Amino acid sequence: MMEQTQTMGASGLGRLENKVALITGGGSGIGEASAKLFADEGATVAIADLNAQGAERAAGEIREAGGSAIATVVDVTDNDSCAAAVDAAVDEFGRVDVLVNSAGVGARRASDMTYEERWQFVIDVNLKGTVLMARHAVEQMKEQGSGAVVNIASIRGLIGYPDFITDGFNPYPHSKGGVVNATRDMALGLAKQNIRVNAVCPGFTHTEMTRGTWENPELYDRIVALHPIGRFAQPIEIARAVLFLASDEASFVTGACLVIDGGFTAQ
Amino acid sequence: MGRLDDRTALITGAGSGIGAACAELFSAEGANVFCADLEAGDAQDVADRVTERGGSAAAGSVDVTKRDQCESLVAKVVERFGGLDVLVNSAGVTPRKAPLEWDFEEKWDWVIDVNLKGSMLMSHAASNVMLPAGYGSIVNLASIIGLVGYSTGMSDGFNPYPHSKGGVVQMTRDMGVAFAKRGVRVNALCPGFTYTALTKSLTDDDDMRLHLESLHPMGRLGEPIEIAYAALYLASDESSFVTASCLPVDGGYTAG
Repeated sequence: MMEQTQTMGASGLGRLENKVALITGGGSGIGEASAKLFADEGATVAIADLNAQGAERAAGEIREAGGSAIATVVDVTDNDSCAAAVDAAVDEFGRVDVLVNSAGVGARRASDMTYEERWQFVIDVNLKGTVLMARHAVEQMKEQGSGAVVNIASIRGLIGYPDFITDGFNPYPHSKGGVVNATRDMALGLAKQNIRVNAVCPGFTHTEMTRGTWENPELYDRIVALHPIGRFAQPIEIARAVLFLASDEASFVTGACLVIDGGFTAQ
Repeated sequence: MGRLDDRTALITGAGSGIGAACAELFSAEGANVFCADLEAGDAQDVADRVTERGGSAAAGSVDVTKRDQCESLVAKVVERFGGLDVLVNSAGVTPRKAPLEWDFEEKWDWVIDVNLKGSMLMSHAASNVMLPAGYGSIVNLASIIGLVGYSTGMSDGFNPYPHSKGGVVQMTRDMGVAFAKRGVRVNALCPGFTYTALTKSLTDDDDMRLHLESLHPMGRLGEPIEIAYAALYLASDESSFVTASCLPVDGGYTAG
């Protein structure tokens, strides 16, 4: 198996040479892995995250490795904030070729809220945030005449989970199912304007968001057992799929939902 | 640095179309490529092109409907390159390519034999090398017509092509799950209509080509290299967590 660490700097193959990528949620997890991989492949990266510290750290690490990156703060549930994040990338780098919608939350993050507040919060970040960011980025892409959007959906946007994981009212699958179909709808709406829109649907991945599962050995084992490959994914394994979809190699791929789940949904 | 350095890839249907594009791209990314095709001369031509550019290639003939030929082909690859890491099942036919005098059932059996049984026999033979080695990646060329039916008017409902490709999709899932803990990944690509010898009789007809273009939201058909890049992703370790998966490469065809 491929080494699970990643190098940064000029060691890639230049698969995103001369491209500008805007990555929400780029301050941690899959977003950060994507940002670093993209920089490694020659892209200029704008990291947008609600967590300013995470965004600054990731951008700083990319610059230290010889890459080009800026950090901005974004609240993807706020339309003006989304517009500002796109503007910041355009002001700094002149264009936006790739948008990666990686900002996302799990219901656990909002355990102090009432059920309905929590439901609304997760839908707002995961689904509405994806749509708002895409809406602003796509305006810029239309002017350029090209672009690619990659949404981080989830296998939870494709299937339900067994009852030891969900009580049936978890907003996370509701939001990710919406992202899956928003991806298809956007793809069709933008296909003739040379803007591709795709999603990746990861299985369980080792990130901060899933900490509650991998810190609980019994739960972890039960969830691992749902993946025929017998393990969780590492963020870099999702990032490599995002890279493929973001690059011109995927020039005929649009409206697709690429499943990266070690066989989970094939059973 | 290549994305398939030190890997050996066996590609069926490598004499033309998507298989040939895979052979050339995989070689450019550092793989040894074994080009196999029912038309041995076509496979040799592709292998020669690869070799002329400094790549490492060999060629051989195979009728994928014959188990003994599939097994001896895999043995030849292992003998020539010392192992087998990647299998691309690109050999495929449509009833449009069947002899006109054949009746419905003969055409049906032939398409199922080549597309479905051929992919199974090749995968079976390859897995006998890959599973003991604990490493391998199998990429099946399925089709969007394995996910959805032909559009209205294009099939009488008895066209064996969708039947065979639907079988390939489901075989991919079953094999992918079964091999998941043993280091061998199995995935499928589902291309939209692509400019190859297989579709030439359709795309040469202007009315039909316009109709097909209109079915793809991008408003055009695919080129073999666009499918080959997706095959490269699935063949390489970049897709280390992807198995039993079906990736449409279809200009939006199946998203609508």
